[in-house]
Amino acid sequence: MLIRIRSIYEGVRLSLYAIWSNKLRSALTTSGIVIGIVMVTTMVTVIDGINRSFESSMEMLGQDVVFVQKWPWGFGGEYRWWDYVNRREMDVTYASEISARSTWASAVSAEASRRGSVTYRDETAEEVQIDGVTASYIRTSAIEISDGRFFTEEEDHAARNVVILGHDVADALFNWRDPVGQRVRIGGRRFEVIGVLERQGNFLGMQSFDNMAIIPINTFRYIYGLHRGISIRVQFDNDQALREGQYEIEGIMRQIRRLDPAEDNDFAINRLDMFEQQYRAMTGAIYGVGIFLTALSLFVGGIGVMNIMYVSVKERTREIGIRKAVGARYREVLQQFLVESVVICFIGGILGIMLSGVAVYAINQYFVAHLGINTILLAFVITTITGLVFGFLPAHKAAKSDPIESLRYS
Amino acid sequence: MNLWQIIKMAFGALGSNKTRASLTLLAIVVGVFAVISASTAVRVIDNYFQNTMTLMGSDVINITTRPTVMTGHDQSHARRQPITFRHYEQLREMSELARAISPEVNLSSKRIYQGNSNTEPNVTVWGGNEHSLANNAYDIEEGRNFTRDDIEHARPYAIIGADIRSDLFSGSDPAGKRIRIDGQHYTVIGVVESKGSAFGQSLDNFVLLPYSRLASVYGRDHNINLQIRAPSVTLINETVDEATGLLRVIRQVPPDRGNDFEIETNESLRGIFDDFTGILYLFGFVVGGIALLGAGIGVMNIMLVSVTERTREIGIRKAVGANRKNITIQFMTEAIIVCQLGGLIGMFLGIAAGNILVVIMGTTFVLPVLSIVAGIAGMTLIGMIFGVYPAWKAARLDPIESLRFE
Repeated sequence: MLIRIRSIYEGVRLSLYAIWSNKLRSALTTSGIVIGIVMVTTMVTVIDGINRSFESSMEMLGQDVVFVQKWPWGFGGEYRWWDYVNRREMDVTYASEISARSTWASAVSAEASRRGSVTYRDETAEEVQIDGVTASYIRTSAIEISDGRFFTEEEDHAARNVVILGHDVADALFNWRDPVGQRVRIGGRRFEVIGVLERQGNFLGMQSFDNMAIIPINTFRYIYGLHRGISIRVQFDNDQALREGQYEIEGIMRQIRRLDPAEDNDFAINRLDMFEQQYRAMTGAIYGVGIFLTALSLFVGGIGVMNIMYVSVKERTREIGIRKAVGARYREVLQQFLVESVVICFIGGILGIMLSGVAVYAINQYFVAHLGINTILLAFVITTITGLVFGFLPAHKAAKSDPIESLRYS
Repeated sequence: MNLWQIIKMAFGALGSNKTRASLTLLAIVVGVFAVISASTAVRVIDNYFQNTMTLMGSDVINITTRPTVMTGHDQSHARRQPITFRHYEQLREMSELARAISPEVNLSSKRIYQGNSNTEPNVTVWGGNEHSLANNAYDIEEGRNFTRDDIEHARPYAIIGADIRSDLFSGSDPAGKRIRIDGQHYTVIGVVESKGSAFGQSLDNFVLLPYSRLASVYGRDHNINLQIRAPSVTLINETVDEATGLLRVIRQVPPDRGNDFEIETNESLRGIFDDFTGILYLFGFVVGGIALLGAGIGVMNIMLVSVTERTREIGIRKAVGANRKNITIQFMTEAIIVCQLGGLIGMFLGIAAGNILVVIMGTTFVLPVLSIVAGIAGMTLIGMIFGVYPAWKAARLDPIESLRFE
């Protein structure tokens, strides 16, 4: 074991010497690998960035939660809206019924939503998403209160004019002042701000989750009416509970709706992982093409390594002959040249990752990219494999060469 | 020494080291493949958008209050005053340039009945006049178009899309048959040739009625679109200007306000996707170009090795009278030939790979002539750039020193 490590150490030392003695050639070969690694790593970091952005957006919608709604979520294909349009609307009372009957659900809330403006003195925030929700929403959603509090069940029942503002709305209306306790106007009515939400961020800079205001659903009903678009949110403790519980919810809904066993559901149970599946299907092909195109750069770099290793083997024919003549076996010569090509690739990998770091910083100014430890490890694994794959044939050629012929070579 | 001899020499040098030459070639092939396949694929996608966005004739202008393709959350057009039949009639009277003005009224989608059968309730029912089909680039396949009389007398006639025929009249001839929409009877007088689908939406799932008939059944206060045919494609801008001016007068837009309607042409609709395909193009070129850069570096590296190995040969050539120019040309030619050969193979493979998308998207084969020309020129340039240093190094060698080289 010790001998093996020593011999690899010796090999690394020798190959560094060989690389150093041919500076221009080594620099060119390494730069080929650097280009390849920068391309692949940067592509992976961008994909990583987009995926993370997507996942954090998903978390914002809640984890282990299902939505009971009139309309199923449609993804591509023909959406047979005429099959759903005559379904009965959801009712706010379903939330309490499901909550009372379900053994799996940990919290159930109802919500309705629309767009409107929020005004504070002379400042107006337009196109704000105004959500009317029940008090249990704080437990079914991923929102967090950064300042103040959420409303209580009593405040909902009494249809009090209280509002919790999203981060962007609070920012736009109050600047640096404390919004809690202030009064704003929504839908022509005065509301007391009782809380401000934690900043939630956005999806790829397109869809902000902070441009919202939350009011009690009974207040919402009072101002805008509650005729359609009500959605019931059911929260479960974990993924396992969700998988079991969704069938229980389906059964409870069928009881509430008094459906005959032969009748189809006249409601939809929508799960977030439908989004996720669609997202994976949509982006998978694009990512595949991206990785393939960038991998071509790495392949080109690898061919450069292979070519130069062949040259190196040819130039050192006599050296190989001597080594074999004094007893070096196939494995030892093979190892010597493999170590050399891996070292070249590894140096390229280190430089490449450093450059990718710069690229990631630049991309993040305009888009998203994330250089994680996994990507770095992956890059090193890839460089090592590249070195082994493209170094093998030249090394094999050197290792199996006939010592007598090699010594005769001039 | 003539060019032919130089090329023969270059091939000889390449042939004497087959592994090396083929690896170098392979690198170039892959680099060129990356550039060409990416740019071909983007061209195919671009073609797809262009074909699907050719919804109207190329000399037709569409006027609407809501843009056909909307990007972003801008809702300002929701509050615009509608375009009405009165606007259409006034514009028809006042316009000098416009030929074939047609109004377009879209109802919400409906169910169409015929005898005992009916369609899904997703059929677009729209009203127009005798110019509507031509302005929307539809052709009559069977039967006839509306006449001016049909429109003036608001006759209960209908022209149906290819989907309606296959849904309701499997096999039989629809002409003269009666269909029912919202309890009203219409006689089918024509069937329109199929246009396929765009972005997953069928373009043949519609019924066209005389707008006058539609107005008498569903009322006159609809927000309509107008389609105007310019006298010729070259006069389209003048026609746009005239229509804009007249509509501003008709709709009484104050001089200090922007238009409260959108004017679209095929050109402007196609332009919407330019940004998107532009980014794809850029991505393909950058990624492919960088792979090519890597390949170029490989060429340079191997040329440098080649110069070192052939030091004695260079020495002899110089000793018998070759000058610097001869040596430079020799090595440059070698580099350029490798690049050209690899370039041709890579281009061929790249075009083939890029056109795989043609099969998937069902568009026409693309031969990116510009990329091919640019490829040949670019490969010569790359051969020169990465060949020049090794060639220069070879030409600068001192013959006495090189002859002494072991």
